[in-house]
Amino acid sequence: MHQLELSNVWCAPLQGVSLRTGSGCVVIVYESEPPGATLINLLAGLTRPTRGAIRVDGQSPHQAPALRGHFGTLLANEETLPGGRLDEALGRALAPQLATDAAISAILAAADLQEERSKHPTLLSYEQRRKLALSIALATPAPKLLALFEPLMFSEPAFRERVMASLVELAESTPIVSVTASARDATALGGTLYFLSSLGILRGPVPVDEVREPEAKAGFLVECDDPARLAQALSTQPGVSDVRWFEEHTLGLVEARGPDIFSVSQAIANAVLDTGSNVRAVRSARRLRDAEHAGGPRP
Amino acid sequence: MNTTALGARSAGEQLRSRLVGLGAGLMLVLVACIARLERSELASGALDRSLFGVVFGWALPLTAFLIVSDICSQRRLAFGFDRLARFGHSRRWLVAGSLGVAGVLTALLSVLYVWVALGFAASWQSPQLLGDGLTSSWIAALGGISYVAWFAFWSSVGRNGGGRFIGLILDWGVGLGSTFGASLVPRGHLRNLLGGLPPIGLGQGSSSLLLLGLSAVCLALALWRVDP
Repeated sequence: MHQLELSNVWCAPLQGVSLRTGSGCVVIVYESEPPGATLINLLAGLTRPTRGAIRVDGQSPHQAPALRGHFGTLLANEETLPGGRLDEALGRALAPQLATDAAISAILAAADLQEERSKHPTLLSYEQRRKLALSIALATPAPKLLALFEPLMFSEPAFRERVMASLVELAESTPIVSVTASARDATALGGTLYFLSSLGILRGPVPVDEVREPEAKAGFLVECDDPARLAQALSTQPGVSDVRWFEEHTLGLVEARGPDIFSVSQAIANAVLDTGSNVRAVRSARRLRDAEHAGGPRP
Repeated sequence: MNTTALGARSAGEQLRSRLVGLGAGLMLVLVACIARLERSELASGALDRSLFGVVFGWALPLTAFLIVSDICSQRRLAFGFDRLARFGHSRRWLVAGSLGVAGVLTALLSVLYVWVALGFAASWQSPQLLGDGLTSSWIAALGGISYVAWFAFWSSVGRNGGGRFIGLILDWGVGLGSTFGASLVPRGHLRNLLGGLPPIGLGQGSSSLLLLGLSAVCLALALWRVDP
């Protein structure tokens, strides 16, 4: 069984991250992208920690190229592979066991890129590059670690389903670290949940409810001139599960909650544009909830 | 494909960028114009002045600087190779392959600068033209390679490879004199090989060996500083 161990790892903006896992899925829910992206780069062996150590089966990924050949990685910023044609670029870049014609065809098929095999790699879209990287990661034979940034952030449900199925199968023998901002994806991926704050501090394992709880991650207070109208518009938006509004304030407040931060913020943006509301401020709903718990006045 | 060859091929593709083409083209025009000016000013010694001045003083180090910067994607040495290193390739061997290509390309361009300078500054009737050209060519090729090694080492210094600029300034600043410092930078030895002022009174043979040694040390240090 493969082992992943992070001992007090520091690398800006991460602060003293420690984690130990064997095979199975670890899902890290991040608050802001930089710490999440840095963590994946560290696990992939592309960045060296300034302090602390990362070990996979006792070896440091940064110092062991052969070890990196057994990793499957999906980075936050997927660059294009060097080469004139996509299949040729893959053949050159991949480790020998993955560089066969059959393996390359399988990877391209898994990423729905068979039609693009003769194209220049720079012509791939952002999502196509991510699909390709994830397909390579999932095709890695006997992987020692999968480190994946937003592995379910794809527009096609069928592709997401395939990824989920592969991850479930691989989790039996491989440590899988998935980093995501979406509470919905985090709970779908299952496994042990951690929370990575915007300050780069890893907390956990945290209970599933803490990640799923809408108030914890995805509540916004919108201070605006016509709360009733905005609340009505928000209630029709997908991604918003609960809308409340308050008239006692001079300008009025609308509170919108939903399963994840991106859906709610997108819904607020759409509703504001639709209604032409005059928005004075958008704040996290956490302060409101804390005030309610404390029995004090609303902020 | 082995990792060194992959690095070489990847660098070869990267060096087809407009920046390198434009830089080399500008250097060629600069060399041609200054060599022509030198000859029109005073025909005697025009070739020497062109070689000491524009070819070895400016075109050669700047071309090497530009090529090494391009290979590093204007960042730290090996920065551009992360996209291959993640699949299990050693950064060190990728960098070694890419520096090989950079060395060959810089050497060829350096020789080309020499012949352009010859073409515009020298008298075609001169019986020594061919001999001068061949001698200057091997010095230029050696200079090109040593400057690539020099800038490769300095590219490994600094978070974003800013050490390259230190290398450039040191070469221009320290290399002009005949002090001990001049024997630690490529410029001092190249000037000696061309028949100019030797650093600390070194002979030309010693300078050749020291320049080769300096290049080997710079290259070894550059590769050592790159993570595997």
